[in-house]
Amino acid sequence: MAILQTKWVNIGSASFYGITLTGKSGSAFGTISNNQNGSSNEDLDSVFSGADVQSLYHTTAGTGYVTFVLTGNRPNSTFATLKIGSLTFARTAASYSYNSGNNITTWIWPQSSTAFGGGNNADKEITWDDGQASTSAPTTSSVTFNNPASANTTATVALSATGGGGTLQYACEVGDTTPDNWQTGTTFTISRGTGTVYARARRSSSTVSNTVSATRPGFLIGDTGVNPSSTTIAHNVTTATTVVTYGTAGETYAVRVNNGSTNLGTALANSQGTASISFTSSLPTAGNTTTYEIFVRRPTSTGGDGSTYHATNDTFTVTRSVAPDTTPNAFTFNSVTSAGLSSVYQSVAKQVTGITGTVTVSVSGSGSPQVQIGSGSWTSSSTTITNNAYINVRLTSSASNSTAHTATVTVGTYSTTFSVTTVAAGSGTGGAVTGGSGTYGIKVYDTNGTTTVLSPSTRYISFMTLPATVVVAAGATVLFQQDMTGLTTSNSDIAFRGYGNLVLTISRVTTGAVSGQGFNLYNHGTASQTVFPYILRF
Amino acid sequence: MSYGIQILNGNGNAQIDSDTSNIGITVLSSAASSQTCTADLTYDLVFAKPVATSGSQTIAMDTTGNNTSSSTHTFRNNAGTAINASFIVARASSGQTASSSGYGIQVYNEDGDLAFDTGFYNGNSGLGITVFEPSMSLNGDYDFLSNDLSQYSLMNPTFPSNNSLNFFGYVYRHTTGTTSPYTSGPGIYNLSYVYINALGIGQIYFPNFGCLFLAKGGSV
Repeated sequence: MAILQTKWVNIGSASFYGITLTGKSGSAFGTISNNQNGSSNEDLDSVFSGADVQSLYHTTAGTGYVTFVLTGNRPNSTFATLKIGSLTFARTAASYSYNSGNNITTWIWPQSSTAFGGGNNADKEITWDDGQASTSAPTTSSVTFNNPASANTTATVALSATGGGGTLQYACEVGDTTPDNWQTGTTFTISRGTGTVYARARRSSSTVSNTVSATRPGFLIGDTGVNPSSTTIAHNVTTATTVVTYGTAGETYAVRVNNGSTNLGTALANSQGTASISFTSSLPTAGNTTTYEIFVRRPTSTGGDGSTYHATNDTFTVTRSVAPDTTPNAFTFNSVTSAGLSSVYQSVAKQVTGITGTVTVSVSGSGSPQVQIGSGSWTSSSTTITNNAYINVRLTSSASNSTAHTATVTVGTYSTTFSVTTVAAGSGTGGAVTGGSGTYGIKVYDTNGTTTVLSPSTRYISFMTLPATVVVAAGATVLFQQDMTGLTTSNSDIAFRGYGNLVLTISRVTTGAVSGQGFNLYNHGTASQTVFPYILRF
Repeated sequence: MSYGIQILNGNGNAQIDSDTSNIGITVLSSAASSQTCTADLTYDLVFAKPVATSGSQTIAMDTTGNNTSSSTHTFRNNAGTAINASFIVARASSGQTASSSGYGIQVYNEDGDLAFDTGFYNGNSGLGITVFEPSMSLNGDYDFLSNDLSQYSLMNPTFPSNNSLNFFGYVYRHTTGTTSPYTSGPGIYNLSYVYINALGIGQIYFPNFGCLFLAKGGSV
């Protein structure tokens, strides 16, 4: 049983009309104090806060009663028993009333003999008890946490000694060294964060345990076991992308330069744990490689702080390709001279070498020039070419004599020209041939006397060598000999009787000993070629 | 030159030159329409053009195995079909028998070959070249040569295929307009291709390894 408060009554008494009252009654007789033989003190705050004991006496009126009067309006509760000396009075056995006129609360028990024996000035111990068993404080041993993938954790308060009596209650709070959120359960919801969690237990308000503490559960970090893809980007792009796999859905992944502090790009992992992250800064320069690292941010819903990116130590690389070589090895187109008027002239196709990737080709100039790449279509528009492809150019010669039309062909950063100059008035060499109109020279008439079979205006043709049989072994060069004195590209050339499947390169040899002059025939093929060349002069 | 005779035309090009191995030609025969011609390709240059004057007419000369003085050669299109052609055969003077009587002029070159003989002109008219395409100057992909469809083309280097897979010759384009590949309109085009049945290469064009000529006959 738990005593709420103990007082002492210095017994007084009064008698009238055959009725005897003993104990304490207002200021009429008797006093009440906190200690035996103590000074008067009517406070009963431990039972009813603010209450004073106005009267506590026994009367012989009727069959006898014990009357207990408090100031104020007090509930019929709080104490279970009132004990006067050795006599115990149950509250529930009393008649209870409140007198609002006097603002007093009264409990009356029937009691035939006086409870205040011993005569005047004797002291009688008075106790108010709550009727509860006596309590002893529990001992708290620890507060521990689970670690779920969520924003809140569960704290569990454990005891090493349970104490006794009263009601066992627990309290647990963050940052409060005297937690007082009392509850009978041992578990508490604690959100993740920083600081200290304190916990304690009690049996009653006066039997409270020691306080224990533990570090508050921190935020969880994201999934660091990811696999970012490395990539190679073109020399001129401005964006790189890595695909992060084996991540965790809902987490945000960021790209930083390895061990860096600045996010270059971020992406949220999808339901498959994959995130595609594109970024445009800190990219490697052409021909170089940069290493990047993946960082992860965990959302609050799964225990992260939702703001901090943590290193995964998972890296990937981005390599930027070297810039393509847009400057081909030099090549030229042979100019055409003494060209016919208003005729289309085409160059000999040239192989473009020494470039990488795809290089832009353009053509400009006079004579409506066009280019052709490989066997593609002729075009005057910008086009492209790759290494080892052939390029050809053509244009229309001028409608005037002695006039050049020139095409400028630009491949990447290299430009070359193809020029076609028309024949001078009154002259003629290769190309569309215009005969002279002079009145001199020799004329030969046919047998009819009118048909001219040879005249000064005739571009005549003659053999320098008749067709010969020449065998050119595979990969070999054979000279088809001819004294080249006076023979130029404008008045002589090699011809063949029947091509078959020839794969030849023809080159003119005009210098050195006459025995070494003529036309070189180089056989590209893998089989020997029998050819029938002859040299014509015109 | 220290001896002999040299005749240049109005443009300064040699017609007769006895100071070199020069061997002139004279027209040996001609026909307005024939599927064949007789020529000895050791001495002869054959110029021809299709008789048909509509659409696109291809022409080449089938010389397979015929190189004697009486060899017959057939004009064919690129499908291998014989076609009618107008042709001129011009023979080197050294391949003809020099006239031994009458009048006129004979020129021998320094090699002793007959380079020119007026006696050879016996009613076959003359031949003058009008267009010259140097060797390796064309790529065979419908290379434009001339708008003048009256010209004859040199047939000696050509070959038609009897299976339409290979062809080296000419296209006489009569249809007006500049539809590709005849982007220069009506005229004479060079066309040369072979079909390589290996490595998936297929048909490819190839250049003129030797020079080509267009010529006109008649009174020159």
